[in-house]
Amino acid sequence: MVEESRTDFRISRRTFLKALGVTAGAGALGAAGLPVRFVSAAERPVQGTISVNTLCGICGPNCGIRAEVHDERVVALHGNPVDQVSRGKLCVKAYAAIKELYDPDRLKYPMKRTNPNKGPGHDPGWVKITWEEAIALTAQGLQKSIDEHGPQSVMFLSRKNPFLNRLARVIGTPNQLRHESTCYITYTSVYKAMVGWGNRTWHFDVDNAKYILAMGWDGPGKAKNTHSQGLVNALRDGAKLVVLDPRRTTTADMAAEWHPIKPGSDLAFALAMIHVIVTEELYDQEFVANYTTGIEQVAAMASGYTPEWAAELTDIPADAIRRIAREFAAAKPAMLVTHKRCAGGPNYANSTRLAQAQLILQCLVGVFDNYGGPVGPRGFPSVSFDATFPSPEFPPMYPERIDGWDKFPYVRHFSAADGHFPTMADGILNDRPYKVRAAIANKYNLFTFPHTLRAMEALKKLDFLAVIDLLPSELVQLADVVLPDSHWLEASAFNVRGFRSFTPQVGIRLPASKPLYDTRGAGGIWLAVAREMGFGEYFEGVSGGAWNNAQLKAWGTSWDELKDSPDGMFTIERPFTPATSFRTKSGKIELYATAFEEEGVDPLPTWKPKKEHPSNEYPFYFLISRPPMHKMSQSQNNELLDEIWPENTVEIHPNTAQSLGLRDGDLAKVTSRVGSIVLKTQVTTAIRPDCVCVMHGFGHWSEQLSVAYRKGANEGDLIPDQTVEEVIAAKDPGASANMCDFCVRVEKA
Amino acid sequence: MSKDYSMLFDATTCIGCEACTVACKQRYEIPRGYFRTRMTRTETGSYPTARATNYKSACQHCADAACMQACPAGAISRVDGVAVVTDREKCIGCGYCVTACPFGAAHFDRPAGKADKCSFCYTIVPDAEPFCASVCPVGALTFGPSGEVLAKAQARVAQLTNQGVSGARLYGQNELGGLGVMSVLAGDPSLYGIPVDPQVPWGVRLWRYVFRPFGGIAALAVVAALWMNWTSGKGLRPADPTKEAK
Repeated sequence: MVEESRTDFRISRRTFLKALGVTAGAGALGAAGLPVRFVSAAERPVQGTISVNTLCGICGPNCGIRAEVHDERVVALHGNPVDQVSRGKLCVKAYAAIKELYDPDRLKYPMKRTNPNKGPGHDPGWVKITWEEAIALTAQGLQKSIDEHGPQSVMFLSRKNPFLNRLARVIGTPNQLRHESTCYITYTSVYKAMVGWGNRTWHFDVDNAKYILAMGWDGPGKAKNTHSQGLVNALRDGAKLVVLDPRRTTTADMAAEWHPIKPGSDLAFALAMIHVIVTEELYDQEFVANYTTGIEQVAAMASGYTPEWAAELTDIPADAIRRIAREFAAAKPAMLVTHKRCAGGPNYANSTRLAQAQLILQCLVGVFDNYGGPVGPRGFPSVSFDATFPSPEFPPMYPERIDGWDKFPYVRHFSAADGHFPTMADGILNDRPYKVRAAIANKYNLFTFPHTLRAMEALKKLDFLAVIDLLPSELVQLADVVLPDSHWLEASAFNVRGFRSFTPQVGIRLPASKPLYDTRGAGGIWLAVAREMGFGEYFEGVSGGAWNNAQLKAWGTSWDELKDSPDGMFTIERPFTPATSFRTKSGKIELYATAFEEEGVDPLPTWKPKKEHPSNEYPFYFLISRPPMHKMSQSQNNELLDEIWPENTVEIHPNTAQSLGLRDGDLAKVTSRVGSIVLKTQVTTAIRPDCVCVMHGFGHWSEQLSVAYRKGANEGDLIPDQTVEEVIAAKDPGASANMCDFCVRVEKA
Repeated sequence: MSKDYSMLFDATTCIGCEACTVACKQRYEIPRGYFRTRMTRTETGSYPTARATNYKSACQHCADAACMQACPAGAISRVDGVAVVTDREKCIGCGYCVTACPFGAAHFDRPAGKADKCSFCYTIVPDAEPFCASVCPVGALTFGPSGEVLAKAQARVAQLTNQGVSGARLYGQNELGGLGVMSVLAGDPSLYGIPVDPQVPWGVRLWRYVFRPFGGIAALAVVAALWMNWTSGKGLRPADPTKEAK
């Protein structure tokens, strides 16, 4: 580096000597401030015409986008200002997504593996095949497993999709699994039990809140678009933000107060707040009386949970807890902001209880489904897939599931398309309750699974695995057949606006780019596999277009109308009125959750500690977060984002680092009871001395990911997975995956 | 034609997401490892009262621009009376601008052998916002006529002060004759890793006002230039591509 520097330096000096005499005058002219207008060839930004309405495909809200295109090439993305969610802006991940569309590492055509050995270090020996072959091989792979081991031996790892759901029902397998269990199931469960609504903790109007309490929530640190916009709007208007988090997150840096709470103790804080608000009668009596049931039981439960009691558990002084409770009750509107993997997500053994306590607090201050608080989605009436596309009767579905989901209290009543990632590996490896031998995975990576190495062993055990994905991820490396997915910038779809929508609105995704490779969307793949397996009679008339139009017509628009609308949005202008009745038995918000009681689990969020605590062997709490510019384990191969945040580190407090003999940049080995990872140390004052934190999404071992390959480490290797018995015994109606409920030791690598 | 515009960076609402960084890199196809704008994170203090700040590290378009005065090739000019722009065709790659900049905002584009920095998107403004400002999801970067931007900045400082942020201040109204990019800060500039009182290096002033006007005394100029180079060779290093902006 130094050598190179010196060489260039000498050249520069010669050039300089030559240029000196002739250019000094021109320089003086410029320096004198005289206007000089010139366009150097190097100063020509890439620009095009804003011409396509589309929707982001990176995360849940599907932000409305207007794509700027030049010469058939997507050059920039803009937020769609008519969209209630994106509000005319996007997040960094979306802006950078163009790089992913044009990533040369993308899967370009269907492939089959020729090397039976699977795993890191084994070249799959990919051979290019046609789509016809790929679909035929996939259908054969599933059929062989059905013939040999029964229909339940087929498993699908995918987000919800009505085509897939029908395929699973026709086969007769109950095994559809998705990531909800590792992401937000605790909140889903509490909302369903107490409000009767679906999983909507991330639908809120923080913009209008005057007091915002965040327990581990870090929307800005994860660059969540509409949530960050809302928080900043509220702060500009003078809202007070208080953050409880063992890490000083971006949100904490923006807050009036940061309290480095002991991990997994937020429930104690919330219970003490309930105690103060109830005993001092600070709650919104009118709201509680009109819209809730169970205040007496809540009051009785909270009577012993004094701030002094909570102070010891949380490491936050009793005075502060009492003051925050009073401030929270006095400010109108006050909001307890939540999303997915914040403290009430499936992180700890007591997270479901925390989620319930948070919802109780929100009701105590009388802000629910209203400005400045959680707001239920104002969507469209749901259209029945089965009524739209009637089918012959389905065969009986095998009753038991591979993940034990059918046995878990309360969540067992959820749809068949939910399911539990953390128990999958144990079921498959032990053939309990039966053999699973074939699977199709749709856009999930191995890193999604806790105890990733064990999940890999389980998936390697399958006789057949087909993987639908955009990039050659680690799960693709285990596949027998690879089904390349289209990029969302090449795809068509629609999406009903959620997250922060006060009136029903649906947006359209039109292709911003023509298909660059021989790829297909997942919907078409499910259909093709079903028809190849001989299930055509169950899919008569079914197509993406027909299903889209059936829904859009029911809502008063159509694909063509939406496609031709100037802003790609169909909006029903309707004044916002808060809900006055809820979908529970009582029609009210049930603070005392009778739905939990019926399942034989605690109907109230009584105190329960987290499961694992620091010991001599594993002395540190383990925390997980994400960098703002990365989407889980999907974006590390994006050169632009890699350049900004190429790898993860283990974040350690300066005193802790010193006692471990670790300096910034040193390689550290982090060990939990199930595994070890090695990664660089990052010394920071932004964390409690008894905690370490690792960002999720790194440690890619797929050699085909040329940018992300071998950078950082996968923290999933440290997370213990679960057995079905363990989850049943926990009597947790949110079936928490306990993603952070374990401790680690750290040493110099 | 002199035009009138400025940009405002509100550090108190920036979430450090680097959407601005991505937009700039894409629009100008900046080579890997180099940035015209980049978020820098500065951590100060000790646990648990420590804090971290974000600063948008890029050319501030100073009225009294050290880089323009240092450039021996006349490659840096003022456009619209605001933007300080490097003409890469005229640039001889000496790197003096990189050394002279009190903000460390110019960098040496090693593959091209040229100096490079933010151009205030002068080919599209003021009809359109600079790309970085246009993408900011939280409105921490705004662009507009100078008077409006200044009024907005002052109002924001007043608002922060009312909200109890005692150190709230405007940065860039008077620094170096006024910066094209002003910032609202919640405390001392040192908390953001920027100079409290940025100055044009006196060596640059000497060169600009004493030696350069007398082009005939070439030998002296050469000596001065060599001396400057010797004293500040560090500026010739490329931007560190591994620099973490967490």
